[in-house]
Amino acid sequence: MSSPSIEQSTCEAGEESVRQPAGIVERLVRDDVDRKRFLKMAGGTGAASFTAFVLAACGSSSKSSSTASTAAATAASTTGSDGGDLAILNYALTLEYLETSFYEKVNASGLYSGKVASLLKTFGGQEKTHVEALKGTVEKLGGTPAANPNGKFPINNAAQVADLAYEVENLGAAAYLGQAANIQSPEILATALAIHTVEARHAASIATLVKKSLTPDGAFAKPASMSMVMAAIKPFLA
Amino acid sequence: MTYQINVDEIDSDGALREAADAVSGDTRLSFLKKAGIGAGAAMSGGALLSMLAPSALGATEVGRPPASFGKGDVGILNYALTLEYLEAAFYNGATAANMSLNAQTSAFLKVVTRDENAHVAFLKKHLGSKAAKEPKFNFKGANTSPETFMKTAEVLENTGVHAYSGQALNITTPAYVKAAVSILTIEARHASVIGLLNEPAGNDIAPNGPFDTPYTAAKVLAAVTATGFIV
Repeated sequence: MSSPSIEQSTCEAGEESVRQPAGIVERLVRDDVDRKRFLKMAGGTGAASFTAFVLAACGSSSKSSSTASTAAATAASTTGSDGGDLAILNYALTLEYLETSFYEKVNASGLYSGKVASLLKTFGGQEKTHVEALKGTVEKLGGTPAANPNGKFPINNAAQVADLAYEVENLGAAAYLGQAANIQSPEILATALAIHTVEARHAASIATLVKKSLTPDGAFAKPASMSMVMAAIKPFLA
Repeated sequence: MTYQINVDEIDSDGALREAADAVSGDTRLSFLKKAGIGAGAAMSGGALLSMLAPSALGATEVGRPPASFGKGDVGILNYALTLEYLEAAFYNGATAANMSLNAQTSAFLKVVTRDENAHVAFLKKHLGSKAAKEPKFNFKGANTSPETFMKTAEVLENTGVHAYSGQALNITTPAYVKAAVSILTIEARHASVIGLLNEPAGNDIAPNGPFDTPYTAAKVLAAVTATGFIV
């Protein structure tokens, strides 16, 4: 039996955890809306404020939105000329920070040993490299990198964590896929593609370990929109 | 008008065969394997852009498939279709061979057989009358014994990742870019799983390390030619 598609499950997560303004966010970020206009509304040409904006618009609890707002404030505005791509890079950076935090906690938990432990350490190291690369790319382009949102993940037992790893990696892969068509710069697209296939590799190899579907979307991977991904990661944001 | 792909057409001036021969002394499989493994060193963002930009640029005009595949997006889709034909035929043969495989490898074979055939069908549908004809293949037993099958599958899938990565930036029709990236993800999934099954410590899950690398069509086609699978 195959898992529900990423889009389906993250949308459902979105319905539950995000209140009325989620509709606004959905409408703002879906493909047929002028992204640049949206980013202007977000109060900057697309830096780390995007995360805070989405969360604020979601009407999330004051605790979570103020943390994210702080993160956004420290990131301030970007001076990059291609605000769209910078916003996407910072979005990717936010997700990579979350994955890195996740693996750090998993690796510190002592829940795994032997080959699986070594594998998860490798993945964590690769996510950390992604963080460094994306952060460096944003800086090189004159932007301000998103701050580390310091994700919080439930780490209860080996089976639960492995399942969570499966969800997180599938989400990461789908998130990159969701942005591929939006990226303007060929170099940034090349970067995004180079990273996204590695996320897919992580997802599928964890699938093997947890005996879940290697290809939850079948023969053609489905993209996840930014709004769906942001809704899905909301439980993990401090 | 249909495009018939044959190796000599791909390699009209022998350049590809030369490139393949340049890696002499290797068996076909180890040549492919070497082609699929790059350095996965950690790097800063600036270094990453510099590293990827030449490949990215190389994956634009210079990295395109030869004109025999067709012009523009048609050429790229036919190049992709040729690789998918190869993978599908390889896996269809493996399935028909009814090898004795462990549960995970058997599950892998089911998934990839389904997926590559779906990719062939998709590309053929979108190319319509411009679709390349399926080449003739001889896998020379590579898909009928478990160990060789598993090793070859890993190489083929990683080659697919390199190939799609290399052309995604060249495609101009947005719907085809999306399709190509969607398929690219799947090839990466396949590659990682067979990599894990072949090397349980996990070192082959991401053989290029934290960043996958795009290849030009010339490099991919040289590797494919070197297998001798297209006859």
